[in-house]
Amino acid sequence: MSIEDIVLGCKEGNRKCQEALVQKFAPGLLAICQRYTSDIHKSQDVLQDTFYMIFKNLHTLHDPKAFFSWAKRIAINASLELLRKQHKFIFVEMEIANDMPSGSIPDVYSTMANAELIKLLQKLPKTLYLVFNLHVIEGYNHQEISDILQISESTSRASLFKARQRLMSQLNTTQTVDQNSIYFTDNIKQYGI
Amino acid sequence: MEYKDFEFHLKSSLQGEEIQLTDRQLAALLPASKTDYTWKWIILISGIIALATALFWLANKDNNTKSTASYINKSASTVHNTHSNNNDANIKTKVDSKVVMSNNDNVFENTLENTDTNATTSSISNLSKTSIKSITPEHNETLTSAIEIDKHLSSIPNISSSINNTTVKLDAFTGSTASEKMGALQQDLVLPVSQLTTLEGLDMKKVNSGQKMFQFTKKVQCADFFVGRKVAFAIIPEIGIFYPFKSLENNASEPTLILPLREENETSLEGLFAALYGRMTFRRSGFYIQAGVSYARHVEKMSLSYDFIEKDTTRGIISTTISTNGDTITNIYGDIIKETHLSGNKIVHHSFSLIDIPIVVGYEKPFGDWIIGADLGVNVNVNMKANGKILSSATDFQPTDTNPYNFNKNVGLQLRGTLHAGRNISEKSRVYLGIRGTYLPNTYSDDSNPITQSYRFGGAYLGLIYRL
Repeated sequence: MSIEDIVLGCKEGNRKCQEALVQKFAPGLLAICQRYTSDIHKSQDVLQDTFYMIFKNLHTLHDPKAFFSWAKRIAINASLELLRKQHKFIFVEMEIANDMPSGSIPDVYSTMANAELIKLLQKLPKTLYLVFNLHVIEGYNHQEISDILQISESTSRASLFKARQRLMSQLNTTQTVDQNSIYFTDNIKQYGI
Repeated sequence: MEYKDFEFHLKSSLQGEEIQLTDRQLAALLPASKTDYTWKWIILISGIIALATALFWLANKDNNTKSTASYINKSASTVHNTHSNNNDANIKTKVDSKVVMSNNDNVFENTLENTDTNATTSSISNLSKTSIKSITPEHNETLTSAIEIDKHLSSIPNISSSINNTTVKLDAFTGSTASEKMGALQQDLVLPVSQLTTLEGLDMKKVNSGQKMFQFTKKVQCADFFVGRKVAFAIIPEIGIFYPFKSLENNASEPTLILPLREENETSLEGLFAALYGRMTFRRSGFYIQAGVSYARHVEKMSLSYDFIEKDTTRGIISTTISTNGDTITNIYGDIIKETHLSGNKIVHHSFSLIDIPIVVGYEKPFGDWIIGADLGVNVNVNMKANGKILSSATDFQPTDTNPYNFNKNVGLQLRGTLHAGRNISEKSRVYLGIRGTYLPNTYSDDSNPITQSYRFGGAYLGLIYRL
């Protein structure tokens, strides 16, 4: 069953099409939600809201082929809504050239599991992480990011630049990289490192 | 590895990432299946049409004239049968009509004649009204004497069909005592009698003296001159306001934080009610049956203020070290403690709408223009719909139609009882004010809902009874 058939069936209230839609897209959307909420239970709640909004507004989707990008945007918005309830994001306005940092990083990072990669990224400040995630992983441009996060494009660019710098620094550091340094120190003692 | 390649690796790894869900979790994401209510609506609409048709038919079938004629015919037949059963009746035909009583020999001669079969319907109607007024205890006693009724009977064509050309001669009561004769006559004489005060030429002294000689040994049954329809129909629009008394219980196997939060912070707001009934009243007894359609809506308001620190401990990489020669990377795993300060103030509502078919049986007792009454019955729920958002965690709300906080689509039967007092405001209409209690045996919550939500209603209602 093609995505067009599934979406069309869902619009008509076909139960089998609804089940097919959920089975096909829920795992991917849950992964997106979890990247933002960093908690499986919260991401499941967000996914619930996401599918509620999807089924409620499916009639507004005119191009069934664009379903996933449409649903992804809903999932991201729902995740951000949850995050906004918990945190107040403050983006610093600044003008920075959108340069890709140069340099090399250890090859070991290319073999890390996805969960570890996400945890690594989530050590970035929340605002920087959001912009980095939206741009690098989700593939949104700065104009779209500015719409989603309600910031200016220049702020988006600056945040991305800072995120990349921080990440580079994190990847190359041999020291503790975050506030958990105390645990690191303790663990060194514990493991005799 | 270049940093640029690392980003590419990140994108390719994470963009297509999927996290598998269990079948139950997937099922929870599906929208609530739409129940087919078509047949319920068909039954409801058919019932309303049938009720309206029956009301219309009954309202047009009977009218006062026909009823009057019917009752009078029955009355005349009763007289005839009584005398026939006693085998004492001697029926004659006379042109002149008169009732002659002889006090001395206790012989009654009741000669009835009805010749004018062209009397108008209005005469019948007038007679029926007069008859009702005239049948009072005083008149009954007066009946024990003598009555001249020919003037009025002559104008009743329907009576004439029964007793035309008939003379009831009561002097055939030979062998019976005077009291027996009068008792029989009094019991069965249910002829429509004209207002006695209008009788001309009646010798009241003679009547009174004749009255004294009869000693009634048992209570005289008043003749039934109820000339209206046995049942009356009315339509009743009603509005009301009620307070929902809510009860919440834990339906989950484990204690939940949400229940005490809801019990503490969620308040029920007044509900609104509107209904349209059809009523069939049994006029003699005062009992009535009432049915219709009603709509009720009530709202729950949740005012949630929270301010706390959420601690989340996970195990993960807390540090990565690279050896000095760059050939070894060491990941250090440990507890990552994350503290999140959560605070906020939210006011969220959820509401319930109910469409019911109320069916009640009641009784009303008039006191002049005032009336008091009571009824008992059931509301058959056709549909219940929950709207809004409901507390799903310490800080968050979720729509009422998503798992696990689902609500039933139907709450089944509700029991209701009403006390009301009303006053006539015109010949055909009456307003009333009532208090009503409604008991809902079933819960609003679905079985899967971790919190059971139940209600009792108490409210005040204002209605207008318009008699058809």
